Amino acid sequence: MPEIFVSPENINSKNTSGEIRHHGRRNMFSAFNLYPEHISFETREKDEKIVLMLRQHPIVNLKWIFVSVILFLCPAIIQKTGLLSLLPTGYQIIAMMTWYLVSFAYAIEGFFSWYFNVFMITTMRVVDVDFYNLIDKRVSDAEIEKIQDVSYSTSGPLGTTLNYGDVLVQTAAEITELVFERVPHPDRVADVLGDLRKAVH
Amino acid sequence: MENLAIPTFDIWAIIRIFTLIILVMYIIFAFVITRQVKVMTHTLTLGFEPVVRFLSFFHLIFAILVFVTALIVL
Repeated sequence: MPEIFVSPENINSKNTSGEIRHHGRRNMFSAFNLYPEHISFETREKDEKIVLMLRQHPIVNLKWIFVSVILFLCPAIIQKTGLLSLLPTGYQIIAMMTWYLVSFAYAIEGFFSWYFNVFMITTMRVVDVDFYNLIDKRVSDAEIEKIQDVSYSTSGPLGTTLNYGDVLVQTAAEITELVFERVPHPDRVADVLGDLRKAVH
Repeated sequence: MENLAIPTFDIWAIIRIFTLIILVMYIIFAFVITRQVKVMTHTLTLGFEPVVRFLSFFHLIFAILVFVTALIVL
């Protein structure tokens, strides 16, 4: 049976060439990062290693990218209709600039929501950083030994085709439920968590 | 017959004031975003912090630019 979770120490010992093998891509925009380097979080302890860093599947970005493109194209379309000429010249300029400003805010909000919405599985705990919008965020974590149950689900044609879904982690901690939404390879995430739980108990 | 003195007001002057108030509020919002991004980049080190901070600052500068332009052209 193939090993899903192999600790970094074991990887080192198994590799005869002396190089450390890395699973997954170490791209800063990767949604599935096994043993990520140069990634950390504020409350991380010295001996705590990040096993897996997850984001939502990149396909979720399509919506805000599509809407942003439409928003940025709108002024050109409105100008052709001549609607703006009803306003005095100064107001036309400000209306245009404000439109681009709000469109830009929408685009960066979409990007930040994806970029900062991360789930981390470390050797000690599970950390869930939720970036709801430009002014709301939440950081929650649960120790590995307090995890009681891990389940995952994939749904819809897109989720099934691209293999992404939700991972539900039930804990005995203060926050009883952590949900990793629309993450790639939810089966592998559940396996990693299962292996970590076995290693802890 | 003498014309009645009906008080008139310039609708564009009111729109101008409202526009400026909204733009000032937007600048405050843009400033809050830069603070939020600063907190997030402090909480998480993901390797793209300079660009993320630049985007939030660019948004704030753009908001200030729109306000200044509105002061000049309206």
